[in-house]
Amino acid sequence: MAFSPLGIIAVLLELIRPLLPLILIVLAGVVVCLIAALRRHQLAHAKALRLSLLSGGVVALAALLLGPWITQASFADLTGVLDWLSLIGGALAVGVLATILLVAPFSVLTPKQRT
Amino acid sequence: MAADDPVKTLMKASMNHSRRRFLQVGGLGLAASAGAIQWAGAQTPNTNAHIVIVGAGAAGVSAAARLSQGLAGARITLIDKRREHIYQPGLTLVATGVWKESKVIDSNARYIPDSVRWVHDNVVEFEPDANRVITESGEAINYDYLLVTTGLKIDYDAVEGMDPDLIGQMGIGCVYDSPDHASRTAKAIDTFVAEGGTGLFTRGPGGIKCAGAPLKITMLAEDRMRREGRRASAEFIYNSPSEGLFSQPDMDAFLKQNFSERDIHINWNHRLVGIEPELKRASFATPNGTQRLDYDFIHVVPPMCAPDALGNSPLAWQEGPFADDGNWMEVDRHTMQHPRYPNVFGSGDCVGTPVGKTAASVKAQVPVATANLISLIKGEAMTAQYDGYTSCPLITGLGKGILVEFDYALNMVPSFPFISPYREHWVPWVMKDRMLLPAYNAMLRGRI
Repeated sequence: MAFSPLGIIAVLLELIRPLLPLILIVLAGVVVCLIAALRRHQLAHAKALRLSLLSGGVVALAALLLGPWITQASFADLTGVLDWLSLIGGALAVGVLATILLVAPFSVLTPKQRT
Repeated sequence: MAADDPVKTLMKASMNHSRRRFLQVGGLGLAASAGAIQWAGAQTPNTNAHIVIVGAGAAGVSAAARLSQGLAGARITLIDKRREHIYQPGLTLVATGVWKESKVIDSNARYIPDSVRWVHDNVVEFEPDANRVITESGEAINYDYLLVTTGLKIDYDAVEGMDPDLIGQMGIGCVYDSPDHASRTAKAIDTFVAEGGTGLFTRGPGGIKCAGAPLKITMLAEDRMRREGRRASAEFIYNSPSEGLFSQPDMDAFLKQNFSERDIHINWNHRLVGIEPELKRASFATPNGTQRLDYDFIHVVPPMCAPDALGNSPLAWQEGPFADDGNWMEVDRHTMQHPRYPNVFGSGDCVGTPVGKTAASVKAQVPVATANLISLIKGEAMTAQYDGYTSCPLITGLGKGILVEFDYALNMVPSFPFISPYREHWVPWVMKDRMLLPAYNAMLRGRI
């Protein structure tokens, strides 16, 4: 059974459909922070980037450790390279997404260090 | 030729038949194999044909979406009384306590396109010679083209003493038919896990919906008992009506080995024919006569057949194995077109084809049936072909499974070559638990 790229997008849209209100709220918050950071000329300053990367790393680690548990499975159920690569890849993706989303909020919430 | 004249269209289609066959046999039709169906061209053909779809299950709803997207001007009528839409592939997870009942209950109204007329009624009579169907309320609905997607009937009466009201009581479970049955089965399994005893697991003979479900219930119940440290308190007996566990030979071999390793005893050629709920005793037809077995829990899987209105109509197979098995609807197994009534197509559980009766089969069949129906309306050759694709995420325990996909030839046809169809993995479990419901919903909207 072949899946076209459009078909895969359609499935992913159905996957997030129940979470759409929450996703829109989060995105709206990020956009507000982005605008505020741009107006203050302090988007993605060094401290914000460091904090975002650190938080993204924590989120990725949490996803890695909790991934099987979230799916009602355990690490004992991961039986091969495919399973481990899927878990690590999924955790990294979640971590990168968290990093990107947190840059703007951290840019607003933490003061830019003066040089 | 006017695309909106069904009689002329059928005449031309009939004249084109031998040419079409030649093209199919010549392999040109393979360009539109079941896995890669695309709408025939970018233009949406205009027609004023009246297409009636009977049944608003997975096949009917996704066909309505595809036809409304693929045709301009057509009148599409969908007939079904059911307002709820049940995600049936999730019933095994409900019956084993993994999912809540609410997760598999949806509404048909969310998926049926606005342009489709939805008649809230049931068809009680098919009259293909007059191109019409009769509904429960007595309305006669005429059609130019008919798509039959009625689903099937669980024949509880074929098991003496069985009544669906018994599900959840006196150690009786049955995953099929409704979320309520699945929930009540979960309660019966809870009791069995807590108290132990003898668990009998059965499978109806012939073509049944999701033939992997009886196996999954067995393995998930066994896995749960093992996880809770109570495995020694129970005896598991799987009763197969034949000498196999699964139609695909590699998977059959795997399961026989797996059941043996898990100490699940198998009774071959044991067909459930009756139960005595008060005595907790089941009767099986075997080559050596009737055998009675006591149980503390029994998973009843009755035989299945076409709904009476369809099975008793001229649309059903009139002879042969698909007539004897369940009065299934006759279709060409590749084009999904009725061989005697060319303006009639079928998809889903109701059709008599060698393998199928899964949501995955619906995903493969509906694009073929609708593409060929549109080709017929346009007076073009029908090139879409269903290769028998079916799939079963065979859950072997909580957190692991095998993604089994095969075709009419029983060859494995994996969609994702990196997922072995021969080994248990966590990834197929994640797909079953998280991804297949979104994929199913996308199918209902006609998007995959």
